[in-house]
Amino acid sequence: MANSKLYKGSLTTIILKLLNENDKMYGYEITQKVKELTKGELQITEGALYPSLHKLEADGLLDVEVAKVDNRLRKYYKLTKNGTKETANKISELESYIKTMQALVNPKFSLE
Amino acid sequence: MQKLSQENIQFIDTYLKNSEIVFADIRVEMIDHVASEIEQRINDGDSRDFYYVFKDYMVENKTTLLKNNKKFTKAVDKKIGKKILINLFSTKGLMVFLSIFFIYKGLQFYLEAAQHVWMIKNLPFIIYFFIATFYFVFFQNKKLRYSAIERTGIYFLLLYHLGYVFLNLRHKRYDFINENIALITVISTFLITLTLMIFITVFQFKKEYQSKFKSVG
Repeated sequence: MANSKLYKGSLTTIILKLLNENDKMYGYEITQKVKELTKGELQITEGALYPSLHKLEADGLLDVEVAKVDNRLRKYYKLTKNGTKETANKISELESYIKTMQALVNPKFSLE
Repeated sequence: MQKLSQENIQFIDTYLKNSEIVFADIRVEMIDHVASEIEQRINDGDSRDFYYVFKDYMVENKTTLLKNNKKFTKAVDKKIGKKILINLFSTKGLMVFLSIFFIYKGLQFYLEAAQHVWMIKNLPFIIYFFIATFYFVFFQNKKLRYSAIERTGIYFLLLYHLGYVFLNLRHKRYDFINENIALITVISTFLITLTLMIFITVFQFKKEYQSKFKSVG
């Protein structure tokens, strides 16, 4: 499994991106989706996920909907309008970060 | 996919409640997470009784779940503070502030100066007393506790101390406040407005919880 410290700063972006692509998701579903997409390489623990979700909700980027499912209540998270705007910003930031890191790790030498 | 029974869910709920996860809005999410994980393990081939799968899960994850509980309250405090500020600086907050201020100004013509000053300095505490009593009696439900409603109690307590400090300054250094009726009027008006806005915030959270968590009980 990958070094989790390297992924720590990207958790918010991962959550926002997933919610941008899916109408609404619940916490456990998010952990399973990330595990599936990364083929088990990245496993988000509930200790990391739920504080991030609650912070995003407190910041007004996520809205919560509660529904009764399988003998219990389930909290679904979905993006607010501000959340949708912020997702684009965060993805752009992450793409820029990846480009910068790639330049550092694999610099391309030029004869110019 | 096999689903847990109502009894299994109730068992998880009771266990988490006894583990000091007392707020229903936090516990609901943890119940779902724990139940989902146990269902996944059972469906992945763990054929033992629910109780043993649950026990193993808790041995691995209980500490993390309890840590989450504490982190959640930080997010709730921020949410409450934000909502109070939105209410305070909204049109209704401004209307309340101006109404109280003009009532104070109007009463100046009907009361003796000493009575007027007494009223300005003590009315915030009188109003606070009634609203805080109402809040602690009717909003703090011991059977079903919600984080935002209970944590708002902290804001009420802070407000009381803030009011006490600003309206009871005894040192000579603060005579400029005590002798400035206009300033005391503004402080007193602000404190009453803030008390009412905190109360409105609690009411809004109560409505939100009643609507979102109507099946909890």
